[in-house]
Amino acid sequence: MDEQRLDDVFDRFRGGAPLAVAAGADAAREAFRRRRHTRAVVAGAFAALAVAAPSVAFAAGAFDRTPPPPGVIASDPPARTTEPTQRTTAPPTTPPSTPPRPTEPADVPAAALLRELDVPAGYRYRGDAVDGDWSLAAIAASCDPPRGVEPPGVAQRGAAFRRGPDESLLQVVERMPTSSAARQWLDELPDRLGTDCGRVRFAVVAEDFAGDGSLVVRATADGGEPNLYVFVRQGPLLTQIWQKHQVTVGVAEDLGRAAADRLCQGTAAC
Amino acid sequence: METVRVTRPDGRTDTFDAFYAANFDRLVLQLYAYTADVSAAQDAVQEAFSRAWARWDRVAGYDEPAAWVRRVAMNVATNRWRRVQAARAHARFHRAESVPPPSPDRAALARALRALPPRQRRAIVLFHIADLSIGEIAAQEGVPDGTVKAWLHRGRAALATLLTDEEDRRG
Repeated sequence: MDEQRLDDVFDRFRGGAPLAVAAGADAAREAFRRRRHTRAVVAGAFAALAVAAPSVAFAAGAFDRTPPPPGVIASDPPARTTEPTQRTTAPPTTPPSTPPRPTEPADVPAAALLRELDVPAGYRYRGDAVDGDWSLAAIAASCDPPRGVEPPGVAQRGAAFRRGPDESLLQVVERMPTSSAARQWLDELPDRLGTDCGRVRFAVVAEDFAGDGSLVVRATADGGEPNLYVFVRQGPLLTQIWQKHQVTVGVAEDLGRAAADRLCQGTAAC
Repeated sequence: METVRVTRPDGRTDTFDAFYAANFDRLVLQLYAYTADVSAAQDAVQEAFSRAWARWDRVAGYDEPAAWVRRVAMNVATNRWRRVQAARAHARFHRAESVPPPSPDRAALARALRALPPRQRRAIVLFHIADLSIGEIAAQEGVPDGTVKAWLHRGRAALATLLTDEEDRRG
């Protein structure tokens, strides 16, 4: 198909009849009212229980990500602990027109990690200890010179799954200082790794399949089987997943997509 | 379809209603090109309008409020969690009136677009369906102009092949 015919295809696509009957602006407002009502109920339940567990609110779908206006670069909301430099004693004369923006938790809630139903059959959760040299950073550190690819997170939580005596599936979620720091770290990862560090070869074998950003990096050491490392970002949360003996990129992507959904329960960015 | 409470007209409502009416069809078309699924496109756009209403005082002041709605809709359509939430929220408001399914040409292009990597697909949709400039796409995606040009070039080449294959199959 030549260029002109392809342009004609786009013209015909744009020029056809509407695809759907609009539900209407009133329906859009009604959906907003219902969501606001649900939020109020959830908030009331929290107040009654005196429990401030952000992860539960995320599970209830109480947070919506909204992009910045066109042309404006996204910035992170202020940290929860940030105090205003000046306080005003006068009450506000008018209420805010929109509900207060949800604050970003300071830690990584357990709800933001994979569960047994997200991972391949047979794996069982075995706690949060993910120590060892399984990570991409450990592999890259063995390069000469070492490649520094340890994300500088401010909080971290892990999940370990085992199947049989030898099979492991490990995940770590890092909370980066800001969403932009997480984005920059992930964007720069391929360049920091390079493609060859002497005894290990690196390749990005999939990207942008989940979350706000995602990569699958294949690391192949001389004489060893390849290892796939899945990286997924949602807002400031960044996760790395590794499954021993797993060399199928599609399976790795599926894990990444499941992880992306879980991450949404740990950040207001979703 | 559930009964929808009709909002008493005022200035804020009027501008939102006009904005909705002027942009719904073309945004659904753009999201259909992005998702290859009319229902998913409709729900994502409706969800985006719902969020726009929640902060309409601010969104209405943007230079391109429709660009904001499109970005929200694409975010909703991209994320499985948000997509399911949107479907739950808006399916009850779907209108009973039926419209013909997308023409074979439209469906073929949407299917071919769906086969592209996400960034190439988004660039193609924004450039060829939403009529954004390369500079606008680059700003939205946070990449240099050259990267967008490369996405468009590779995406068009892949589409030409996919659509030719589709034509051959259809005879």
